[in-house]
Amino acid sequence: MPSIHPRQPTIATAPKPNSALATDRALLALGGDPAFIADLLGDLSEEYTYRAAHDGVYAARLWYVREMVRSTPHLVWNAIRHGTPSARARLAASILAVVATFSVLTVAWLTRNGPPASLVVGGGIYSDGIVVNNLGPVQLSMSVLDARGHRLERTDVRYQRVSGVPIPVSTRGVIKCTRPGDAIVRASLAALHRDFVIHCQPVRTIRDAGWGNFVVGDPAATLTVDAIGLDGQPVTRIAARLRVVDSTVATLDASGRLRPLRPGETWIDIEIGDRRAGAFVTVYEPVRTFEGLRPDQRLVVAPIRLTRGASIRWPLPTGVFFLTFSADSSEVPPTRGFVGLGSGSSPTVQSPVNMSVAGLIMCTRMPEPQPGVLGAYCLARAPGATLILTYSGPGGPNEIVGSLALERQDQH
Amino acid sequence: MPIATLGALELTTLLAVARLKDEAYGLAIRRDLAARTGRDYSVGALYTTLQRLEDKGLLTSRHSEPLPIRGGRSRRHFTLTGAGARALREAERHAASIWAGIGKPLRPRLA
Repeated sequence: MPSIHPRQPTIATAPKPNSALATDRALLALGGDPAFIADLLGDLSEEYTYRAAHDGVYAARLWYVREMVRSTPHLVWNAIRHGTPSARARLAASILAVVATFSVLTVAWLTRNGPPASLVVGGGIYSDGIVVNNLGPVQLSMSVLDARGHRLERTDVRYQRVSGVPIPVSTRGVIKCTRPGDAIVRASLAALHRDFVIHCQPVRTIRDAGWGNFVVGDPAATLTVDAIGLDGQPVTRIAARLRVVDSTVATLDASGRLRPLRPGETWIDIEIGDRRAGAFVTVYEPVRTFEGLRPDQRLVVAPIRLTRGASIRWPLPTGVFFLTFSADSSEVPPTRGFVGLGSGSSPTVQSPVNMSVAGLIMCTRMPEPQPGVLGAYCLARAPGATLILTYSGPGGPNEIVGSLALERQDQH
Repeated sequence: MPIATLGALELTTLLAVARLKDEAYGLAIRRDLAARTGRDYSVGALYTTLQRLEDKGLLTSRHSEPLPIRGGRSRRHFTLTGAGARALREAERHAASIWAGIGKPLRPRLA
C-alpha cells in the first residue's frame, strides 16, 4: 500500500492547468456530476503533487494513470446516475469505441506475424520428406512459420540439391524426378536452413483397383492401388490424392480406408503424381431373400447356403436387373457372403451352381469374369417371375456358400 | 438509521470523517483509511461512498477556496450530521452486541 509523507512538498509540480481543464471538460461531456469530477480530479492533482515531490515525476504519472483507470468504473457509474440522456448516449458511444479499439488491438496483437522462425516441409505423406510420384516438373511446397506458428506468405525461399540421386532442382524449388531414389535438398530463407529428403518415386501408370463391391455395415476396407514405376515394378511410396464423388454412398478416411454408408454407386478419383485413375464402387444393402423387395431397393445382396442336391426358389421383382451369384471360398465365413466382381479376394471354388428362371422373364447369361461367379441380365415383364438356384455339382464340397446380388437398372 | 444500511466501507469512512473533524476532505480521508485498514481505496471508490453517505443524510459537505495544488479546484470538507453520529453509535452498539461473550477465546495469548 503506498504511504504518503504528510509534510508539505518543497517543489510545486501540479499537472498543467490546460490538460486538467481538458480532462474536466471530457468527463463533464460524458455526463458526470461536476462536483464529483472536481473532487476526484482535485484529489488526484493534490496527491500527484506530493508524489512528484517525493517519488519523482515518472512514478507520480504512473500512479496518476493507475488511479484514473481504477476510478473509471466509478466515473462511469456516476455519469449513468447523473447524466442526461444525450450524455448517456455519448458515454455509451465512448465505451463502445474504447471496447472496440481494445478488441481490435488485442486481435491484431494476437494474430500479428513475427519474423520467419522455421521452415516446414509439406506436400507428402511421409514426415521425413516429400514424396514425388510425378514424371514432370513439380514445385516444392515449403511453409515458412514465425515463432508462434503463424504461416507467412514468403516466396523468397531458395533451394539447392545437397546430395543423393542427381535430379535437377531449381533455386525456386522446381524439381524433376528423372529416376527413382532419394535426394537431400536444402531450403534456405535468410539465416534459416532446412534439409529434407525428396523421395523420388515416379509413377508411369496406375492399375485400376481390383475391388468395387461393398455391403452396408461391412467394416472399412483399405483401398489398394497398384502404381507402376519407370522400371515396371510397383512403387512402394505413394502420395495419392483420393476423392469420393458421392460421399453419401461411401467415405474415405485419412488412411485411405473406404467405409460403405448406404446402397448406391459412386466413383473414386485416384491421382498419383501426374497420373490419374478411378475405381467404381457399388454398395449393396444386405437382405435375407429377394421376397418383398420394395421398389426403392435397387442394390441388394443376400447370403446363399446350399447343400449338395438342394435348390432355392426366390421371387424376383419386375423390371430390368442384373443377377450375380458369387461363391465364397471354403475359408471365407458365410457371414462375409458377397464377394464382388473383380475383387482382390477371388473365389476359389469353381461354381457348380445352376441358375435358372421361371415365369414371364427373359434373361441373358453374362460372361463370367471369374471362376465361381454366375451373372445374368434379366427383364421380368410381369409379377410372378422366379429364380431357381440349384447346387448339383458332383465332386464339390457338401455345402456351398456364397451370395446373390440383384442390381436393378430401372423401376416399373 | 438502521445499521443494516451501512456497509463496511461506509462505516469506516464515517469513522474517518468523525476522527478527522475539520480536516475531513477526500485526500485526508483516503490516507486515514489506508493507515487504519491497510487497503488502498481508489479515489473514485471513496467519493462514490462519500456521495452515498451524503445522499443518506449522514454527512454534509462544504467547499473551500480554490487551491493551486488542486489545479484551481476547491477542497470539499465533510462533516458528520446528527443522523451520522447516531448511525455510528448504533453501529458501535450493534458490534458490541454481536461480539458479546466471545472476546476472550479469540484474544491471542501473550507468551
